[in-house]
Amino acid sequence: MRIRTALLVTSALALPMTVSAQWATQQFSVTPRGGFMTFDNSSGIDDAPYIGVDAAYAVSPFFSVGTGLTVSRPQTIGDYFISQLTFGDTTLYLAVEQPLMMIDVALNAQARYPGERITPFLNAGIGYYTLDLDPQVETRPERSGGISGNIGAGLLFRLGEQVGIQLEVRDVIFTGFERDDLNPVAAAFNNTRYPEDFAPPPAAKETVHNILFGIGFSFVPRARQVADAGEEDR
Amino acid sequence: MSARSLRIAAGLIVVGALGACEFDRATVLSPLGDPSYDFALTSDGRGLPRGTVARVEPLTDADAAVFDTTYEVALTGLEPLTAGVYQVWLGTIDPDNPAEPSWTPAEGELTITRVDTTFTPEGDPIPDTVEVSVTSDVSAFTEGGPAIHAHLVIDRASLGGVSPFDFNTVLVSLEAASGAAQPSTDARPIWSRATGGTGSTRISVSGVDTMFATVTTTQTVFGNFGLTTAEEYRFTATGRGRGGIRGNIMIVDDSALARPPVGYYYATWVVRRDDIGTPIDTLVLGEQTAPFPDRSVSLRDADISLVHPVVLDFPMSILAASSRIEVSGASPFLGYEDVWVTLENKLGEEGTAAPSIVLSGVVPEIISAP
Repeated sequence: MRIRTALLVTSALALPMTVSAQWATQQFSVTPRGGFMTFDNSSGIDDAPYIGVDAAYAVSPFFSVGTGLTVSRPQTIGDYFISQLTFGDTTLYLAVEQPLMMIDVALNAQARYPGERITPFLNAGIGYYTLDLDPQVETRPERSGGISGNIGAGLLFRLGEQVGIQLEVRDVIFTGFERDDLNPVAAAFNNTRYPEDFAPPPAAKETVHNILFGIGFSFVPRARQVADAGEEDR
Repeated sequence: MSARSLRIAAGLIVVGALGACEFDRATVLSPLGDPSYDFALTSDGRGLPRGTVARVEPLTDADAAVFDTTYEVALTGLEPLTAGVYQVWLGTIDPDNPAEPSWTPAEGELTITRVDTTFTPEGDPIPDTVEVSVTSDVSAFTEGGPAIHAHLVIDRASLGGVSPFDFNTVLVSLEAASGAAQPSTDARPIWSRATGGTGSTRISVSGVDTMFATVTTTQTVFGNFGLTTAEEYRFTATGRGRGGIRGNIMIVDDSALARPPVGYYYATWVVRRDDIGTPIDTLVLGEQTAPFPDRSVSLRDADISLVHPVVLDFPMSILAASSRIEVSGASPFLGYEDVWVTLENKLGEEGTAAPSIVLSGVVPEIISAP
């Protein structure tokens, strides 16, 4: 019921709009994008830039489906993974970091409200993420991962028939997240003597929310042809 | 859409992609603050409460006329008490009916001595026993200390005509005050049973007479007294540990300690000595606690209850304990050389270390004498 109401409202709002050729039905679009990803404070992963690409197929001027890929190379936060290494009668306390390769692939849906120059949109998707740990730190290839989801919103600024720039904010959600998987410190080297002298990390969570701020360049390869065909028909 | 726009868009994407990549090898280890300078704590056992009970019996009636049957109780390793007394008892425990013992205050003549030790230029010790006090008709005392000896002589006269040999047990209990009618049911840390022992003959010359006596000596036992040997708990100094000093923080973690006898608890001290090695100052880390993250749980009452899962009934032990102190100032541990885990009497003075050292360690020179 709620969905039907939303669709009716969306349709009513859309009726007076002039739909640009970029949002014509049965069009493919490709959106390379990049930006900055702030990982959940409890995740033990430091903020990092990312790059990605979305490919979408417009089912209607207001709705498209597609796939997305997001890749980042963050570092773990060393203060979350403290090691004590004893050399004779001296013990050193070290923050242990490691670089990660984060890959998130998703099936996405986008609802939008096309305008002449600016198109607001909402994104949602579900997929799978992997975190590849550093094989030199871990001494062997290690991978962690799970089901991911994303939900976000943004604005697309149309630069022409084929190209637009989009600004977006997206919550990339990792489920089944195990922060301990990122800990390269063996139990024998955990800080057990001065635990209260180092700020404890936030409580680990199984579901972490990572906020992604991005800019993308939306490109519709067949938009020019569709526009030209429309003019010929007239 | 012009080709120029496409080129700009493509260029921005490439720049963004390059910016997102990190080509340098990550730094994976970053030092966090001061290192910890560590030391080991090993089992010590110095100065535990200990003593002997000598049963002196004249050989002949002629000897008995001038040399009566006597119990001589010698104790040392006691902590001076400020909130109670050591009460000495003579008891009779029927082996066939141990549940109904009878106890009598062991009144006698108490001599307190102190052994002052000096050293020759060559380093040889010269003990000098100094008599501190002699008190008659007492069965309780508070004196103690690392060089203090208590010597209580109980004979027929001091017991009002009763032979000490009518009793088969000597017991020292901890009481809140002297004058108790019966020994405390809980704190009975020192005892001796009149069985076994090593015998010898004492020859005493008085005037023109020579008297002979048989002396049977038994060692006292320290722990929790039981009416039968099966019920008693004998304390042994066990354990090991590791300590560390990191900046202004000292931590001592130890394990496998024997549970203290009732009336006792473990505490940690750091000791500073003068040039000739005499202790002149102590830093109190206080009573031991459960290890992190339960440092707020004191093990002071580990003698009478299972205050934390690290305290066990069987075997009577403490799996792990800890002490931690954070002090202010620059080089706060300068000059402190020794770390002691002592067995403290609950009725003793809180700010003074007991002479009973269970674990000991040495502060690294980089801290104590850099």
